[in-house]
Amino acid sequence: MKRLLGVALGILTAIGGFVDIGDLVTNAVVGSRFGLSLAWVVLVGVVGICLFANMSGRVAAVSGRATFEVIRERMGARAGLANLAASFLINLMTVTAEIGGIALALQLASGVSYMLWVPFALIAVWLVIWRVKFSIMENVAGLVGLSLVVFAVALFLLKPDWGSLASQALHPSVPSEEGPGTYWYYAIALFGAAMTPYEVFFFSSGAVEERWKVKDLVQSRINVLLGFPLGGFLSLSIAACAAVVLLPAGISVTTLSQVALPVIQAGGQLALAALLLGVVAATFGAALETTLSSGYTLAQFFGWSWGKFRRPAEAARFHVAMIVVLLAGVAVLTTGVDPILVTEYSVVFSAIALPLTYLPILIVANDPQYMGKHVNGRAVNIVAFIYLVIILVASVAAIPLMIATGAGA
Amino acid sequence: MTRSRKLLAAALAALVFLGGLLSGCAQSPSADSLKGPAKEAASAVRTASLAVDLRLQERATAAAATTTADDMLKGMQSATDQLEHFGAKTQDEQSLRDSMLAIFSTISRSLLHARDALAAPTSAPGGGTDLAGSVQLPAVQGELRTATEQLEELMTKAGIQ
Amino acid sequence: MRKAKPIPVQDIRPAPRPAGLVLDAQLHLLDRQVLDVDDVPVTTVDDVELSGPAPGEPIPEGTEAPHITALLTGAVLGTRIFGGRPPSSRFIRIPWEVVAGVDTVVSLGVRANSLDASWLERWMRDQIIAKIPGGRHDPE
Repeated sequence: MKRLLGVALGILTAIGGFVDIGDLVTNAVVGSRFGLSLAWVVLVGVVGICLFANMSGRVAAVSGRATFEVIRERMGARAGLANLAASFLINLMTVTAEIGGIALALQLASGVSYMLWVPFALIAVWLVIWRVKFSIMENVAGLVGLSLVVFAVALFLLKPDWGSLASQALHPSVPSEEGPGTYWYYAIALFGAAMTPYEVFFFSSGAVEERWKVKDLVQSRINVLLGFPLGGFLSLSIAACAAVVLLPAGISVTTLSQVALPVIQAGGQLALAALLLGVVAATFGAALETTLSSGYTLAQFFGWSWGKFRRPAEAARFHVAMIVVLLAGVAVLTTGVDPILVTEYSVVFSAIALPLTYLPILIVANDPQYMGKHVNGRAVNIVAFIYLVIILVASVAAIPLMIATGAGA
Repeated sequence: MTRSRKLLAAALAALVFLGGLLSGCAQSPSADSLKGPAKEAASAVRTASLAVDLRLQERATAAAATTTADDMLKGMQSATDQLEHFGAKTQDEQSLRDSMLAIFSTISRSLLHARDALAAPTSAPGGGTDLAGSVQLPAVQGELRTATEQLEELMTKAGIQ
Repeated sequence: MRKAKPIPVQDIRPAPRPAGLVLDAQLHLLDRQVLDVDDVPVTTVDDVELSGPAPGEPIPEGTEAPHITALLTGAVLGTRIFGGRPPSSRFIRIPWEVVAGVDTVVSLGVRANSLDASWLERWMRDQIIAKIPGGRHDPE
């Protein structure tokens, strides 16, 4: 039973972390404009996040410390502060996007204006963080979020030309409508959507919340190797659905309602219901994760007491910080900014901040003082180093591409 | 330590500068400035068509379809705003812009009709007395299709398609 | 200020080797998590206060070696990163006497609540968290 619950952590982090509003939107946009010619980025992202989440889980299980605690100790206060500032701002952006996503999904379900759902989403997210146990939170959001598999079902129902989809994926090329600049810009965006830093902070802090020990490392590996590829598979189905229905129709995705259209076409109102349930659960789960991540990163840097395993009175600064983050996110949303736009920017900025997050994890995972005999093996280090190079290239290229392509227009 | 920091700051500044240069270059062709709003409008009107089709097939709920129409209306608004801010340099561009604005307003009108029609209940298209599906939706569908064709013609003429 | 004549290397006596654990303040003390006697996190070590003569002043013969008087937290983090220092009356101190052990974390022998360093936590707990219903209960 404990095994099953442990796997649920992986699945939540995969679905909530992998398929959040960022993945939903980015994959749908990419599918509607580039078909499956960026599918390889999702694969690269899945392998990357598996690698780094595994490392950070290992660090947490072996040393009993969560990622950010170790970042400050190992890299010093200055680097830690830079890391904190960048991660916190991006986390804040992501929280805003996720809460917007919850409200958009509820609007799609009910027709009631999105703005009215925002306060509701805020209160709901906060209540769960305030009162609900960590393990229950994960299990429920993870299990309900699995209904996003409706995208895969819809894909089959649409009876696509599998050959052409496969050739798009296996022989990537820039479609005639788009330019190489936008192609690579969206490659970076997709990469950032897959490898968002908050997943890693959440995963390792969650490992401490659940008191993982060395004997849980096997479980951690199962979580990662089962959960994240599942998330990747869902991402690809989202892109494929958009590629099959929206790309030929000349529709490029800019709203959540457009993301739903292929699913509606495939399976009607039942499929739509499953989709909306899945989207609400996944974005809700992601909102929980990102809010908790902001709390974790702040608390771990400054040395506050943290954790959902503590009652709020015993982790006062942690909870106050999260309340402030939620309020700030909602304040941004009430200015009327389009949450889809916030989402699109948040994934690119996530890509820019990736080196700040992953380099420290790589360093610590190799440090025998924290890891004892569980330091990285040779093979892991080689792959991790390759990924570090990829991450650096993506991070450096992101801003020039954003400016040159007008953020992918 | 400070030296490498200075180098880093210089490198970052160079990157941003480079990006600024690139974006400056990207803005010169004028047809491109029409391209953005035109594509947005095309996408919006086609989305609305799809939503109406799905509603006629009763695959889409009223809530989902009206939300889609609402979103597309907002998209049209932003495309129209962009177009209005477009500074035409030649007489040709001016007339192109004006025709496009005219089509945009047609599209927006049809989207409004679509939203109202989609909001009304349908239990069977073609049946019932005051149900939207019976009369309004197919009519709106026709409106949207005509508007789409007009836009596509204009885009081909302008060399955007 | 007149530059002092450098002491030839062979005249510098080796540092004394007292019994006990040898720590590098930067590696082992700074930025370490501080836990209280119940393993509740208090803060991180933002800076370390040393006794002894101020830097830049001439040292009189026979002065004892500087020793750690307190671990510091609070505003010193900002000044440590960006430069300068706040007046010593502004330091939030954890007196060295209450430190029980130093390894991957710094353990104290007292409860967090008894320290100045946890005043913000206590303040937030009493003024904000306690006022929201459910704050004192375990999550369910």
